[in-house]
Amino acid sequence: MREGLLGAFCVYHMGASLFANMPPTTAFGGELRAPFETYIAYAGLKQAWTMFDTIPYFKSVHPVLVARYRSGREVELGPMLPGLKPYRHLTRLTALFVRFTWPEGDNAWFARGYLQRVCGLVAGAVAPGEERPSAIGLRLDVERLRSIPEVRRAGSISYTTHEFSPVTASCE
Amino acid sequence: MRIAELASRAFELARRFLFEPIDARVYAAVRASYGLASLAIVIELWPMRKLLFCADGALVRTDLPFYLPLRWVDSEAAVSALMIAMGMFAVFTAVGLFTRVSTAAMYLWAFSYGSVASPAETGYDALARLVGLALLVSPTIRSWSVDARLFGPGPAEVPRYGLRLLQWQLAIVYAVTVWLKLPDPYWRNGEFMTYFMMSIFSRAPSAVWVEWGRAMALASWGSLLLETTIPILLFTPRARRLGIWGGILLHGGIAIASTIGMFSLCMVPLFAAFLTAEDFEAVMSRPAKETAVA
Repeated sequence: MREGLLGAFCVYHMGASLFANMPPTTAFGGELRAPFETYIAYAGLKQAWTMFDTIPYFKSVHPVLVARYRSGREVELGPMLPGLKPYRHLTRLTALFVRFTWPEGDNAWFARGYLQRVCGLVAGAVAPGEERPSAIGLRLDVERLRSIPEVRRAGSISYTTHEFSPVTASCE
Repeated sequence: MRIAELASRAFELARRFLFEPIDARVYAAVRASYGLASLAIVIELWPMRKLLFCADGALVRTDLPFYLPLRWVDSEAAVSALMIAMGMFAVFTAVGLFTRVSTAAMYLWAFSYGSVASPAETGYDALARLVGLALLVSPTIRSWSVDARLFGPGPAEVPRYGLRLLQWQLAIVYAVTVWLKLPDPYWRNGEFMTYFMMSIFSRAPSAVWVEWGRAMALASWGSLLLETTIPILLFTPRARRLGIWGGILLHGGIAIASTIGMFSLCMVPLFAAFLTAEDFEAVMSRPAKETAVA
């Protein structure tokens, strides 16, 4: 009896692990995943093995927050909270700021929350009579990899671009 | 009648697949390597704790299930205390002290930080969570543990269903990643590794790699070949050790050449799930044989 129950659980768990990887864009939609959905969510079986499914595009990334004022002035701020400290590179943070710059799914919500929090922080630090920022945005200064033929021609592997997240927060 | 026979045979095969007894030291190897990988993640996350987990950090909280520890703490002091406790539980898991409780703590921790900091989640966080869950539902074992000294030795053999869950997960990881990589033109033409070695993930990004085109192409195709064949080799009893060596080659290479060695570390428990008693005998009898020859 105990073996039967354990066996059934194992088969169900294996099915859930498998269908956790099934994209919702197939002809089945979410049908195949539906029997496992609750278990996947509450047991933490969510998984995505999209590791390096194509080439990486960057040699380095450096996020910067940009506070914009009505006067047209722009002020750069460090992206590290608390304290708006300058960026310090750690591999995991690459994922965070790249996802905030090109947000998909829930990440747009997280990015908006982050920028709104920065708005509150900056607005709270403004002295009476001083100008408040009208909006906060995120800029990613990127050393973007050149193609292999370009590397041969130019002798360097990257060039600098400035990418802006489509998500901004209004501070007004 | 024939259908009943077939069903009975299939049932027996499934029963053997999941419940055949296996040396408890295999679970111990999985548990110890999981504890070390979890400790490494806690140490990696420590400098980012305020940014990722605290109320004045970068991430707005979503509603978490009540059983996840980070639901209940968001101040710097509380998050720090929680992480120190989790580091301690990771050590407990590695040495097998209060094993069930420690493993549960590591699983719930991995689940909760992955949920709170999902925009910063990596593949190895998912591995930590999935291995933790499989270990949590696995049989209680006392091999290679402090628990054995405190509470007495456990059985030498236990059912292997927990290891099967891990083995299945390993097969899924490789199957999905190969499925996604194969249509990519850079993997196909062998240029992937050149770009990888010039990228943010390389330990030595340089234009030199462009001159190593053939070696980079072989490394790209070799990686794909390994990712395709490792699960097949591991599930084939005669080729199992070859699969383990393939994993050491692939993930050892990743750990040496890239800045994402944590992923390699977190794959170790999944590979350990394929060990057998013979592997331990082979390792333990080697010094004795060498001494005898000398």
